[in-house]
Amino acid sequence: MKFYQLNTIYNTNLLNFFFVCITSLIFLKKYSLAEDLISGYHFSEPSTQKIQDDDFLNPGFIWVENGELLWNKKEQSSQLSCKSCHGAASEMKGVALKYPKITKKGDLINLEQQINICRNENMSAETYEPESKNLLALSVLLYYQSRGLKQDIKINEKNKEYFNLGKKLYFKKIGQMGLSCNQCHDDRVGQNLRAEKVSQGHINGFPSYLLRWSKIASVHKRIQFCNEQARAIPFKIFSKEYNALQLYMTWRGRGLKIETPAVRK
Amino acid sequence: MFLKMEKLRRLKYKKIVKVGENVKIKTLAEHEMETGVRRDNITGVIYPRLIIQSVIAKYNGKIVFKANWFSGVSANPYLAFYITAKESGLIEIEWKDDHATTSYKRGYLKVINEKGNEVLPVKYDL
Amino acid sequence: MEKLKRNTLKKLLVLLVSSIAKVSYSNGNPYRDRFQSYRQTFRIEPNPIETERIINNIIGEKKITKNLVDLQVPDTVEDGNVVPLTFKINCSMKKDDYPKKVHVLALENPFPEVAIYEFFPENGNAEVSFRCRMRTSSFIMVIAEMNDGRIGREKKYVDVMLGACS
Repeated sequence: MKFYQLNTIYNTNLLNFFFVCITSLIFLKKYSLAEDLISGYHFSEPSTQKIQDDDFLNPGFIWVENGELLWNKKEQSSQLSCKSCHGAASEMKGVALKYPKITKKGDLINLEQQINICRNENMSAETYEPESKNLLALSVLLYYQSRGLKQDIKINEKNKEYFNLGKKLYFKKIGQMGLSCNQCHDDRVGQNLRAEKVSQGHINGFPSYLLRWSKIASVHKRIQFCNEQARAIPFKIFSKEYNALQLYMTWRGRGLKIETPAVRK
Repeated sequence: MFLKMEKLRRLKYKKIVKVGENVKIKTLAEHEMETGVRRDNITGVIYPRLIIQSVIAKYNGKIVFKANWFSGVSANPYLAFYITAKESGLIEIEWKDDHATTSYKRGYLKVINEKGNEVLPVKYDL
Repeated sequence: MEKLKRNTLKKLLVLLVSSIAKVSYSNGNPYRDRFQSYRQTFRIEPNPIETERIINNIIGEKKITKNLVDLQVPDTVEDGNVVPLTFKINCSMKKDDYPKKVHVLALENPFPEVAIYEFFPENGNAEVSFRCRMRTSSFIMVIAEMNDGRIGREKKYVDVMLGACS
């Protein structure tokens, strides 16, 4: 063949090759994050994974058993317990997946806030303090009933505004060094931050047993700690901003199975 | 009625065993195990030491295993050990504290000989 | 003249007080070093001489028999608060061949002794597993004293990513 004929054949093959490359990259990039969701279980050492797998070794079950006792306990003021309205705890499967949800007034609330509202209005009992052992025990019990189910929270017109607030906070740069959540948990997953591996930041295992504090911590407390490590001023527990962030993070991790009580560092 | 929230103590082992078999006993206790070394961030006051000092396991009233712990054991401590099964009887585990508060957990172990009958701890002739 | 005397006396006093203050308040004395945070000044350092003394008290001058102790620890641990540990002693557990006491030590903790276990012939296996705390990456040592006088020892290095002791 002559030179110009060879040239045309080479050019067309090369052009085809480029087109295939570009379209495949666009295709992969569009759908990569939704399929590549990795739970925090896979970012921890095998010795920690063994502790989470065994139901006896897992110290989070101490809170689960305490929660069972609290579920059946009758309040002195009204002689009602959680069991008298809702039945046994094992019938609450799938309830914890719907939180954070919107009340009739239009506020976004957490599962822990709902427990306090229930105690205040229906059982006329004292509310539990935030991050207290009793409240976390009940919260872990309810999340434990949905273990194995996939996170799927729906965004409709009611919580669209809070979802947008959460999304804005996730991408907002905070703190002395101007760090935003997506810089570590989206772009630098798997790299080492001193001695810890950066995970994808999903909350499918919360409220989880954190090894550094030797107790169960809720989502808001963990986000507070993360903010303090980035040298930013944290919001308060049960604040509107953290609830919106929790809503965004549950939507971001849709498809992951719930693993409470997880064991994380 | 107020429920006194006692601390959780767990005990797990294989319930029906043959004579001479080694049984693995697992225990888990709920306790903060404050080391006496940690200080408060703001005031600088030391959190006082409060740990489980000894764990004693008894099999039919006879001491079978003893453990003395110091501040180096982690919080919510787990312990696993073995015993040989001779007769069916009571397994009792006692956790003793720095403030000398003791808590117990008991369980029954059933031991079967080769014919399939239960070996009782008390022997009597009729 | 009197004014001079008073002034010199005052200066001497000030010099005295400042010299005493320097000696007692500097030199790393934590109660006055207000530019350091609490976590750094009240750091608990391990004492290597003390650990040597503890080990010598247990072993003394006896000979060490090999292959008595079998220690299993993970190589790297995420958090120093939870280090799962299993040790087994190879012996028959009959008559005099069982361990009287087993000491577990973590060599660079502020208090190096972690646990002491006593066995009886009713245990079928001398195998125990529990979870311990470590301050930094260091050795874990298990010393077994048998009832007939033998001594076994084993040492392993553990890498800790985040230490305990706050």
